[in-house]
Amino acid sequence: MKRLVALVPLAWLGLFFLIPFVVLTKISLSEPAIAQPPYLPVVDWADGILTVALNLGNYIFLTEDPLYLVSYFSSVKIAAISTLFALLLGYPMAYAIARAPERRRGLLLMLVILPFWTSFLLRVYAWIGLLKANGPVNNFLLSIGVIDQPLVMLQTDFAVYLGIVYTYLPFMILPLYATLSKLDVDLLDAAADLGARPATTFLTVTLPLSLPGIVAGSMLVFIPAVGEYVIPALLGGPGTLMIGSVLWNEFFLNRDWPVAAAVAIVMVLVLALPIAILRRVQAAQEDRA
Amino acid sequence: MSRAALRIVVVAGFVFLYAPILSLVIYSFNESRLVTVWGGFSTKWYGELLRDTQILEAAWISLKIAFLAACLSTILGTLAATALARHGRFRGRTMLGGLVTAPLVMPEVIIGLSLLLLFVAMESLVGWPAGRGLTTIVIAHATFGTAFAVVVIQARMVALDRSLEEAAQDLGARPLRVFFDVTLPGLAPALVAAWLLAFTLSLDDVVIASFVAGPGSSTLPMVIFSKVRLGVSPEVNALATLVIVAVTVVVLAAAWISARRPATDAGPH
Amino acid sequence: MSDPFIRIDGVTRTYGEVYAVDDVSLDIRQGELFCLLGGSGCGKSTLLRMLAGFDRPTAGRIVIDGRDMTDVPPHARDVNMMFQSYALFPHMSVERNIAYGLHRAGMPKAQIATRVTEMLGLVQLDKLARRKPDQLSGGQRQRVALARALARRPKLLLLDEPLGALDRKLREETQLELKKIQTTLGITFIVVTHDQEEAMTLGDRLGVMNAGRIVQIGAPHEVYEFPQSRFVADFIGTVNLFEGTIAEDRDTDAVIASPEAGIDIRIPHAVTGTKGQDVAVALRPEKIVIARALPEPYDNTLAGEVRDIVYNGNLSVFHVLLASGKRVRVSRTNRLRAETEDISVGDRVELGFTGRSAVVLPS
Repeated sequence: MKRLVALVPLAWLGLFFLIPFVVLTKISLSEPAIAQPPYLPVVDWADGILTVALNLGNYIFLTEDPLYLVSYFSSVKIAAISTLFALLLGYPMAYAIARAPERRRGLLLMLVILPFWTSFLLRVYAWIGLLKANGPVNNFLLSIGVIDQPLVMLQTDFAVYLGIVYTYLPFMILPLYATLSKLDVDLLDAAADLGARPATTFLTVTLPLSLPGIVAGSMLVFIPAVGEYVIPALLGGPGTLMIGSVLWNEFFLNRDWPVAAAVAIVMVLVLALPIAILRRVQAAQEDRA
Repeated sequence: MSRAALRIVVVAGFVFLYAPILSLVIYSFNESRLVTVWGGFSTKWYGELLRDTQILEAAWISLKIAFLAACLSTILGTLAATALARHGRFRGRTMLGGLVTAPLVMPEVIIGLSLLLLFVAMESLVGWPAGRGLTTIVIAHATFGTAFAVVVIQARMVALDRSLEEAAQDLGARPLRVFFDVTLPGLAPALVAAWLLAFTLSLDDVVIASFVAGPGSSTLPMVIFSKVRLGVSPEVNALATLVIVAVTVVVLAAAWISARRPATDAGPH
Repeated sequence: MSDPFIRIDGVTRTYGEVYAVDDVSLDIRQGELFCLLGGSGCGKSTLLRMLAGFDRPTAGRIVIDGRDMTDVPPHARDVNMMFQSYALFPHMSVERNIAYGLHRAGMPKAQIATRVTEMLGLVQLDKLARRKPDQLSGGQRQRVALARALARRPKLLLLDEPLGALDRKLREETQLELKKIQTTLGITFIVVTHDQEEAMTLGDRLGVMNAGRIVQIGAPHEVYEFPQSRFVADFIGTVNLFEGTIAEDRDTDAVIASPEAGIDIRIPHAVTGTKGQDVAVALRPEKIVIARALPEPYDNTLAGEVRDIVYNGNLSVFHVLLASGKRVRVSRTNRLRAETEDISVGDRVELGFTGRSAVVLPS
């Protein structure tokens, strides 16, 4: 009975999360073919002979065509820049919520989380309307005279940054809020008492103590952003190269499953470091709790 | 940063979060098809939406999938959270701990692709699942829904006073009885939250579903995605408004219930 | 002598390398109120949890009323526990909390109702039967927890820091009430506490625990007046320890040479130990008489200078520095108001005590 409690979810997640990665790895090592499914088996059992045909060709292909390298690099760049902007906007928001009167904190937090509960797809879609050449953002900027002709914002990298920051902002604010709200206000008073100006207190006390939140929030934005597909598909332009889109096209348009699998495996490797960092920060926080 | 500057940033942040949502609502009542040009107030897009059988069918499929996936996620999540929070060290604990957190940080394209490859391989090996459709989407959504459900349920379980369960045992309750008499009532808010979260995530997913869906099982997000890739569509605005209203009602109801509870309980001490 | 009601026989509990409970053997009589006393981490709670069945001994046996309980799960034991946190089910009313164990025991409904009413009367909560736990005060919750644990008429009731969450005044009243209920029902109680005053007020006997072992068992006055080790002497109450060696040991008296005290301490009875052996003389602060000049002679007299006076209201504690550099604590009841002023800091004083109030402990 007791064993079953752990066994059922273990079996489910093992079968539907872990084994898929084994299959993914296997197929990334197989040869593409015009067949159903469109790849040749890696392990073959014929005439009593076991043949293992490991094929590194898909990985070699990824290094030969610059499209892939450039896409990985560009994904990491776009994700990193978006993460930075999310941090710059999210930190003051988290700080303000953590320092707000207690009875108002719940409401403010709920306002941060609420958009997350409404459809992500529909919220990204809303930006298409807002950023259009004759959309409200351009109209507003034209009316106050900042610009004299509409800016091209849709189908640019800028729109992708905006979409990522917008979508993942709650993931940045929540861990930041968690560390900032635990920060003992007496520490700030103590720093002031010992002669630190507010800015110095912030740099020497608040910022270092909220570092775990900064790292956790940044990783929670960065990791999904690297593999993002929907946001560049809706807001990005033909020049926006992101590896999620490359994988998607490889699979759905080229029907090259082995190369798509190889793209995915390399993406996992690229994300291994940020995932490891996130794990460490979260484990450290759990230990302290 | 001064207080005033901080306040400006916070207000700007919330405007940033809510302006797009507000724009969806406003334009859903726009007479003009050219979405961003105001052509007068109209509810005609809601009418169009209700006559769009493709959207209605997809919505029905999505609701079915989300309901099943949310139930599965909550059950699996409760089991996993119980094992992780209550069973101490056991063989496979590290494995289970890793498996429930990994889907949280894995890009959707990878989950979708690897699951599809598994389904294809399984079908050729054991003949199940036969083709792709509702079942495969439910399995995929239940898998990542479980990961989120565990986070919510485990947090609550850790916070629950363990001596309550021991007290029930001490008073003669067997393990299953303890679970239903004490653990489950204590977990109830978390179970509701976990179910809603898994339901929402399923209803919202376009990437994983696109990989594991088959012909005839297009979900609502998949239909919306293909529509909006071609540009803005006033019908989608109307749909978005309905979603926003539904979410707001549920969230307000949840807030109202949790705010009311302590008020009715507090008596003279 | 017949078999004891509860026999803890060589019980050990280890967690990895750590011995939480280390080879504890203990017999408890039926109807006794036994207190396990010790600091945090001494193993008293682990021992209690093993009695309840939440934890299993690594080695040894636990026998209750002739039945070996070592492998019996908690729900099948005739033992109930009152939890430190009370562990009242927050979603059930007071009466449903009390009835919970009775339902599990399969008692008929009518009988349950009678028993619940009886228990509510016992702890004087008749009017609060329908309240939820979070609508009760701390003291009321404590009584519900007690009623719930007693409702099944267990053979043994375990109480984990039962009064720990109450404020001082309420604690004193509740101690007496708890003792009265225990005597009325005749149920064996084992109380775990870190509070020595509580242990002494409540317990028929105490077991003092340290580092997983029971270091002394006895009635409260025995443990206080005749500690068998430095640990017990120091843990229970306050004590002055004078290091010394046995100078003379005869059938009727003994002399301990103590440079620290500055005198040869005379003890009017034989001591265990050989001549020349290192020992310590333990002396409680209230056993010493302090005066600028002692009005009558004592077996032992020390001289020193008052360095500190701590006024505690009902008594004052004098810190006296001896020539050897040893500080001695002396307490005196403040019988008269003016008396507090007759000795001041810096005064030379005499300290007198009889060897009968001292305890000689092995070093």
